[in-house]
Amino acid sequence: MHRLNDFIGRQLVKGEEVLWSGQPDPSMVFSKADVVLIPAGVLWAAMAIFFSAEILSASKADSSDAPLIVFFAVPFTLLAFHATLGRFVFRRWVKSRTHYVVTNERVLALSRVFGDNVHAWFLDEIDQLTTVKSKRGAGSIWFGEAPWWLVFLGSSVLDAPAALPGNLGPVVFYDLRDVNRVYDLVNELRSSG
Amino acid sequence: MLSDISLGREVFRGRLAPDEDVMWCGQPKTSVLFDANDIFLVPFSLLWGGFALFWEGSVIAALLRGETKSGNGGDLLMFAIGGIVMVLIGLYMIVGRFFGKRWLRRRTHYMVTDKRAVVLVSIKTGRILSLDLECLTALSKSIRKDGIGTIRLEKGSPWSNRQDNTGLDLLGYLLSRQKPPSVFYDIAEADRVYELINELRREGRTPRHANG
Repeated sequence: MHRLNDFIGRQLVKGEEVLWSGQPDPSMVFSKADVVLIPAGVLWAAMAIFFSAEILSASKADSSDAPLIVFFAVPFTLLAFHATLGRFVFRRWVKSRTHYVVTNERVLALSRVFGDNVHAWFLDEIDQLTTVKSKRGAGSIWFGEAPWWLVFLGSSVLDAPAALPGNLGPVVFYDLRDVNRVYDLVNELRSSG
Repeated sequence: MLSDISLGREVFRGRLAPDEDVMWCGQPKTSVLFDANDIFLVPFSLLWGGFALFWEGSVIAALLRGETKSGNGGDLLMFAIGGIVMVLIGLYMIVGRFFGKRWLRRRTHYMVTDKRAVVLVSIKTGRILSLDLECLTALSKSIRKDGIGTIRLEKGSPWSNRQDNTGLDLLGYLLSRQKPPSVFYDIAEADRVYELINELRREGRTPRHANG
């Protein structure tokens, strides 16, 4: 029997049966894309510091440039902070507020981030499954067609608030401890349909 | 009854089948200005518009000082004319698109019948998108604390249609035969409408995965 909190329970329709539920593993900190994103973030931060220092010294010579500093340097620096450190904190927070559910009718990615978000696809409309997993069997699963870059980005997609469930294409269960279990379950449900 | 159904019948007159029952109709809230896409669009438009205004101001200031050529010999008057286009684009992205969005929303109506989910944008002869409830491939929602929310009725692409509901889609409606997206944006009582669509979809088809 699955213990469901009120939020999950409210999203189910009458007669819908929960067969599996889980959350993304917060201990899985990095995604494959971080091989590229971390150096890119560090490079961005270095440029932001250099750029900000340059215009700061220029503004000392002419204080009328101060509004320009605020306009260009501050957003640039804030983005650099997000790209290097902030996004990991944000991702962890999003994960803690995200639940994944497989029912006898649908796969659902639920999150309580900036409101209640439910991203649901019907099982009989899922034409393919894609998984990426480690040797220990932990990983992510994409329900439906997923472009290669989305698969490559993995859970780093969660770093961008605009990419929260519902705004991107397929339903995805990110960073599960046992991805094979969900894969087998959904495959079985699809074939029994 | 979730809303004023008689109003819906009036708006969708001539577009309903004789045996079709209207279950709900509504419009996007004009009071909601921002959505998730604005996290990128607002800073981008400010940077674009800010730079365009700064650049255009510099060129006009040089013209007022009596200069006619830039440092590398370019014609400042031509720069000023070209800059106006960039400024106008920037101003539309910063401010104008919100008016465009509001204008579109006033002309947008959503309807759920016992058979279909319909989006109507009343521009020219009307742009209509109709989806059979039985054939819905996905059903997603994002609900705010005040109950206003967005319902997506189909599988979405991760890359396309990012301009929908931003005000940048207005040109597509005015200049081409663009169809509305399969989304009910920013409707009141979104949770109840979501449940209604789910229930109607289930009623319309036999469950294929009973008891897993």
